[in-house]
Amino acid sequence: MTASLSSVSVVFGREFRAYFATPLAAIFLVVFLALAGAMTFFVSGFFARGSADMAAFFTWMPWLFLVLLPAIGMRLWAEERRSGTIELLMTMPVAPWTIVLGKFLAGWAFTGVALALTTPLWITVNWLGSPDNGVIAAGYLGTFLMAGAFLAIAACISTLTKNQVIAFISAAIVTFLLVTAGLELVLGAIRGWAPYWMTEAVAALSVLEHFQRITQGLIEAPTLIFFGSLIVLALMINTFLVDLKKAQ
Amino acid sequence: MDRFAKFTHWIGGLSRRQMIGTSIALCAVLFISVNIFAGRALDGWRADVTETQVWTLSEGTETLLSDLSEPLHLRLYLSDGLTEAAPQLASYADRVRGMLQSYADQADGQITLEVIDPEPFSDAEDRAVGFGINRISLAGAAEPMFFGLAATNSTDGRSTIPIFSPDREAWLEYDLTRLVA
Repeated sequence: MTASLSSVSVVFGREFRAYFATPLAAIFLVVFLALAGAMTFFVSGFFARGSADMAAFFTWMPWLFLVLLPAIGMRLWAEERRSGTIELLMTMPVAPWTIVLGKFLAGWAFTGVALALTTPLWITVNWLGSPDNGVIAAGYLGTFLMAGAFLAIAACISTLTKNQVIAFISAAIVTFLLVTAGLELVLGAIRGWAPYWMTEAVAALSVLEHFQRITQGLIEAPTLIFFGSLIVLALMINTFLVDLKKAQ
Repeated sequence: MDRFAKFTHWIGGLSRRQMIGTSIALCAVLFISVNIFAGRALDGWRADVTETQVWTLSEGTETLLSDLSEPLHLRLYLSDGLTEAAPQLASYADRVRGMLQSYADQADGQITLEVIDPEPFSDAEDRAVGFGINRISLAGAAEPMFFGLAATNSTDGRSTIPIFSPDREAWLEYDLTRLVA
């Protein structure tokens, strides 16, 4: 067990540093902060709302992440497969799941860094008024969990291809479907022909529904289980697929 | 026992690829069942971290909701354009909607909540006016807006909150519970 943990931490360290070895990290952070800022201040009218909360910021997170997290996740495995380093990685005396977990945690930690850099907004809100900090903390928790789920899906999809562009687009489509599953747009299209339980099942998979409740300050056990189980599911499938590619 | 032997034989005969495919399908089924179970069984496991306890109803309201003798239909008339035209109302509208959702959650299915966006010249708008919901005219908006609640029971009883005024925000739960009682 300790050997597995140390191998997770070695993979984690290597992957986390790899983000900063290339301009990727800087570009990602700048794009994320610029987009989040632009959406919050110009599109949502942060000041015009006149209320000290961060709802204007959190509303945009599902939509930003659905573009940005596939961009972080796409290189995790596709890059290894393209350059052939996956062969080397797989001959290491470590279990595939430790590599999968290490890579995922590195990407998730990187997303955490990006989110941490939005704290000036939180400081601004506290300086301008007296916001409900419990709700803001819940919002950050929800955003971080959602980021983890999207990243796990993106990483899982990137094992299927050597092409990072294909990995990116496929992951973006899957996360888009997960986000919109609860919207009337999708449910209306299904309701016409599918039985009731199927419509309910699709609605239950909606990221947006869970996300909206947690960002309004209501932390529910089903929400935590939903995001947690989505991460575990994606990582398990990821391990299976890596195992399969290893066998080929 | 024979069946079990057949089953293990079938598993043993699977290729690595089929085995992995089966595992993935099983994981997906497990994922969906865990979530359906969690949605049903752990519904009450929640933490309300808001300062004003928006999601937590007072004891009196909870008793009243669990003792409701007849089904109620709540229609919240909330124009989509309202929060754009009056952003200062956005958080209040969220709060009203959240609290009504808590009422519906607590009432063991006795309360149905419907959130309606009455578009201009639609049947929904006529019905809102019929219930006595006030039209709100805002400076920046061309069309009148609605932000009110109508409650009906199975017979012809009805009561309304013609407009949710921000002045009454502190008494929101009191107003709603009076309406339901």
